[in-house]
Amino acid sequence: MASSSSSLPSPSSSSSKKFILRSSDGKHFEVDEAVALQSEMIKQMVEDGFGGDVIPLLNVSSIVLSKVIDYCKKHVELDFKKKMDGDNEAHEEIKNWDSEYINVGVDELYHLIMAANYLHIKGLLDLTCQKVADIIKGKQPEQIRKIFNIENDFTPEEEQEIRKEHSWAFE
Amino acid sequence: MTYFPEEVLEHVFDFLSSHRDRNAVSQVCKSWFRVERWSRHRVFIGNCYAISPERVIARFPRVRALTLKGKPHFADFSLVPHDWGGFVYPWIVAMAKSYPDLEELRLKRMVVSDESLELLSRSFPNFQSLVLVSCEGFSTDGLASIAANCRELDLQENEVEDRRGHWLGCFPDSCTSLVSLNFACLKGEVNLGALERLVARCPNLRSLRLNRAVPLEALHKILTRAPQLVDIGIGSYVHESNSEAYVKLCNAVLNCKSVQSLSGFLEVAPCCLPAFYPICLNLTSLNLSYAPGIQGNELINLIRHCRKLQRLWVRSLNNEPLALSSFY
Repeated sequence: MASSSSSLPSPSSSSSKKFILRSSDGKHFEVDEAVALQSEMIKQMVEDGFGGDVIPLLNVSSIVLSKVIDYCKKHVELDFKKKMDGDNEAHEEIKNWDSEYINVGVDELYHLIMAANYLHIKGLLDLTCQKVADIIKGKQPEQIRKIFNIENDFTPEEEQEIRKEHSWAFE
Repeated sequence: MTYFPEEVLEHVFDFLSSHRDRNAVSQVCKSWFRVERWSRHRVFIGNCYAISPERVIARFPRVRALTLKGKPHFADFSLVPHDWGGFVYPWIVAMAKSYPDLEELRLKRMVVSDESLELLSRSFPNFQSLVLVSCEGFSTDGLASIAANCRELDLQENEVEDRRGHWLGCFPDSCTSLVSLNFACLKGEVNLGALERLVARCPNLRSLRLNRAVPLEALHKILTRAPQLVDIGIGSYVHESNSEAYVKLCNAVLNCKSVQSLSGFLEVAPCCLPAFYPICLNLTSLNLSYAPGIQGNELINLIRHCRKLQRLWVRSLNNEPLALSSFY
């Protein structure tokens, strides 16, 4: 599913340099420089002279990468708008777009977090981590384990000990 | 099985502020426990004898803000022996060695000696905020030592031995970042000149609650210098309503457009209350539980002007404080 950046108008799409990103399953994505550089990791690679032809992203599948690129494109566009229209309006639009974007299931959320962390995209990492925190709020440990499919590696005695300390001292 | 890398978990936990949520995540699995332990900066301890300072430090090595409660609630009704305990000193000694980044300490119903305050003031270079609620065992000498490095000093219903009124003068001239100062519970005299100078050099001061030693004339000078205040506690508010001082005060109040919370009026001449009517429209909180002088029609007239009020405290007929919420 090789794609291009033609669907969304980007402020500098005609003139800017393009990068080709290769997902872990070998698909190619052509993106504008500004979009690619939303990732601190890619930025570092480019600065180190690795941005020539194709940038291989070994830890990100094409499905996830395409979703990550959606995020980066939108934010380049909105950052541009912010400069043109002033902060307030753009801020509201970013907030609405982000909350729609992050309305995904736990599996997809997990893959987005891992990609944002690997690619060092701060905005996306904040957004996904905030979403995980929102899911956790008000839940019991057992519910949290179930939602995120996490193994309880405490012994019953250890767990009892922690629970006791919490209820006795930290609540 | 899902595996979150530790740096990601730390980032997620940054968004969890309530201690209940933090407790819950630390029970999920060993890796979550470890990350939570190192990233918990705010600790709440409901009873200072439920756990030792050493154990708290071992469990949470990077604390910046600690809330610590001492005597049980019924101590408020003199039902706890005087020598029950609740001493903060051993906590400060332990933290001085292990928490160099401590910024905030909130204590409730604890015994706080001057020695504790003095140790506190010289042990934590980044210290910012001290909140003491219903504490005892210290004097204004202790306050003088903590004044040197504090951005927020909030004293609520403490028993403070008043030795000298000059503790306010111990905020150094270099102290310009004070955000909040509440000394309404202090009974003794106040160095009004030092108070005025302090207020004048702290442009970020948002909350100021005065004691009954601060008269209406001084209030006028303070409000003139700090029209940015959001929360004001009035000390003594007694004057003739046709006096020059009252007219000046009326003008100063008009400029205080940011005030949202009003309290105090420890001594009050109700005929002077109309000075505050113009800013009542912005009030969301009005605490008159220490203002026995405002009653009947004067109380009604004042509240009539507060159209955005969300919380109101008044004294009931049997002198119990009553809190009423969101009645608009």
